[in-house]
Amino acid sequence: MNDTPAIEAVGLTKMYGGFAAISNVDLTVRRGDFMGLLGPNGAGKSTTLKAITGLLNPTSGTVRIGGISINDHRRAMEHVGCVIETPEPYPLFTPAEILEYVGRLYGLDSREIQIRARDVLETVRMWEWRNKKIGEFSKGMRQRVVLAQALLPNPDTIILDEPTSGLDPRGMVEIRQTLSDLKKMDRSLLISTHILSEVSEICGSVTMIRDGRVIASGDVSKLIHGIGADKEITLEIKTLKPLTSQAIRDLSGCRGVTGTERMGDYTVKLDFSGTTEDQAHVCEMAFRSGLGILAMNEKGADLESLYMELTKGDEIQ
Amino acid sequence: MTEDRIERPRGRRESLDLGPSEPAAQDTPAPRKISLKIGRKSADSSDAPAPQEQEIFTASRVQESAGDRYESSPETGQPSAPRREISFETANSPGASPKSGGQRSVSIDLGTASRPAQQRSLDLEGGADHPVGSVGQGIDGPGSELADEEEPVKRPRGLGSILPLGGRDEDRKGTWKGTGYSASDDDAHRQVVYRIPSMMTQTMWMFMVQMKLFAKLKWTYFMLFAALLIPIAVVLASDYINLLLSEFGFVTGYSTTYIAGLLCMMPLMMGLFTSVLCGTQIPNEFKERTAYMNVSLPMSRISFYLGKYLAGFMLCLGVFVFAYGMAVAVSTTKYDLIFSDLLAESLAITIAGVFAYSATAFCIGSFMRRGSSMIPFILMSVVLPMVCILYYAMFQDSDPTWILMLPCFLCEAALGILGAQMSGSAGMIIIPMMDMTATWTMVAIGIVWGIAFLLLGMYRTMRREM
Ligand SMILES: Nc1ncnc2c1ncn2[C@@H]1O[C@H](COP(=O)(O)OP(=O)(O)O)[C@@H](O)[C@H]1O
Ligand SMILES: [Mg+2]
Repeated sequence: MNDTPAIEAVGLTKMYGGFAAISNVDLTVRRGDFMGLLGPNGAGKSTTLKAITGLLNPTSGTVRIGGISINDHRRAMEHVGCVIETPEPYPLFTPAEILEYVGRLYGLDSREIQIRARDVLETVRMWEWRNKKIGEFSKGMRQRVVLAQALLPNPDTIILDEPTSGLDPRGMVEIRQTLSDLKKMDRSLLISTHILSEVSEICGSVTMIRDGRVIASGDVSKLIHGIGADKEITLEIKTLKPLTSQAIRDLSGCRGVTGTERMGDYTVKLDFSGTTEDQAHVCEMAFRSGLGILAMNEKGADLESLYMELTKGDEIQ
Repeated sequence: MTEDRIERPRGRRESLDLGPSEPAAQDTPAPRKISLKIGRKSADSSDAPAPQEQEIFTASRVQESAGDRYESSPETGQPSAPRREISFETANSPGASPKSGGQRSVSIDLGTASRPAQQRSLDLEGGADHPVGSVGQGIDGPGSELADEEEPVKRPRGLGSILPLGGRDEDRKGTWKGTGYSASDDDAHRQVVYRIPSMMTQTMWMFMVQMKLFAKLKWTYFMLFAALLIPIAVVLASDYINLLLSEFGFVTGYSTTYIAGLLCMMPLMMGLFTSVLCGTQIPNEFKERTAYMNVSLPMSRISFYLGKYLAGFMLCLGVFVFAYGMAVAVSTTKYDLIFSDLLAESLAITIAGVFAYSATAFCIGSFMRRGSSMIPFILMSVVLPMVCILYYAMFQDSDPTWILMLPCFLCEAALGILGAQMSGSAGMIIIPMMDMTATWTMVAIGIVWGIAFLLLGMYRTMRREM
């Protein structure tokens, strides 16, 4: 394992006429890292990914994948699997034939292709359809085939552009599950999406992009807590034993707690506004009360709130 | 992980008999190569050669410690697969580079036990040039079993369930049982060293893919049928065909003229077929969004472009050569003498014509996103000949014969050299004016024209923004 980032884009700018689809986008995906590229429609996510995978020439900026410049497309993409711009497999082919030729282009031999093809087709739940013509598939099924194609060589780096759009809810969950499984295998992933839960479920870090500019980038939890330092959040504490007024008094006495609300005998909600240290202190107090903590939730300190906050103003950072 | 791809030792590898090699020192683990072969005996005799199509599969894995071992016990047959033998070969590489920290390569050979000479290895990183000898005992002797101490857990989805993609499921079902290799063991996959093939190979695969696509296209069969129509029509309606051909002066004392008569639709067909086959390839890739899959693979766009073009060119060429063959075959029923020098020259011109036409169509196609396939046809078969003829007519005094040498008249030249006075195309009226001694110049112009258009289209494809 070396320190070369899996994907490194510096100062990516793409002009369409006078209009900058993306401007000065910096993006680094470390090895083993799962990065979500988050932004509303038209923010420039696809443009960024296309520039990274060499589908278009950026007006300025450099891209290196695994330390190799994307200008050497063949070498740079050797251990990359990607799904960009909702590609389609050949409708006259079957999934098996698609995987066969993709595997050949990656330099796998036929035995190896067969093993991997079975693996990836089972992963995307298309194994029973392997010998059916893709032209007769639904959009979601075709998308699964494309995803299988990207996973076929067991790439070190995977780049996906809205992989779950067009899938049924079950398909979305399955794909997310598949992607989460990749994490155990030390892959790097760059996934663009406008679905927040997708990022919070599978990604460790996130780059938020809006109007072609990066508005926030970094570790998901750091971003949430970093930006939400003095933000109102709600802590919900569920206890095993009935709440005592003493315990509630103790909690409301903590720094940062601005209000308490008792929800029945076993649940209390704390309005909280303070630093993360204060928050840790509140949790400790609750723990020490001896009531037995079943669960503690924080509401308002998630990606969604962060996203809403960031996309509220014009520019932050 | 880059460690997966560290250089394999290039030193000579010695074959050891199955036993565990001496454990290497922990600090400097000696790279080891263990190759295990699973040979499937053919059903009747053990020395019958295995079917050709069975592939050898080689996996290479990095091993942290060199201390693990494979055991082989000849007495233990596999109850589930009694016919299957497994042999292992442990090779120790003394001349290893210290960098390569203990590697183990596991190669699993399916059904090829009786032809070790054909072993192929995926192991491209350096060790491939050393023959991997196989241990004698495994091949025809009783089956041996592998006990991998490191992988005691067999995943449920693993070995037994591997099916090939095609129809011969039973052939390989369960072949991997007991080898310790799991299809769903992702680490095992990851360690398989693959390296993208050369641009040439990738171009060839693109060619094959395009050929396969053509094979599923009804236009291909229509084209072959059109060529087949020549003998069919002559057989079914010989009187009518002969009448028609003699009306237009194709029935003379020479067989070549008759052949030209049978092929008189070729100029039109060439424009049509090359447009339909080559002109639509790239626009279709974008219309159906398959291009996005292709260009994001680790493949040069040159491979993508040339592979597709070559397939279209070969198919068109095949069709027209087939048509020639048919015409010649039919003419032998009527004439005794065939002028092979004239025919060869005509065929050469046709080949140059196919090249120029298909390159033009392909190039025009690569500039279009969702264009009509008729544009190259209209250009090469209608507009360009018309313009040239008009130019020739207007500037007849300066005798611009060079304009009749443009590739859009190559087919007319091919017919004219056979003695045809006309053809079923826009360019037919210039056939009598053509200089039939300059055909090789025409061929050269056609080839240069084709290459120029091909390069233009390639430049466009490489610069193309998706
Ligand atoms: N080929 C193009 N020509 C002009 N503008 C484009 C082109 N492609 C994208 N854009 C513009 O760039 C912006 C970003 O697009 P895109 O990256 O596709 O957004 P998304 O984040 O939804 O994927 C959009 O405003 C779009 O209109
Ligand atoms: Mg998009």
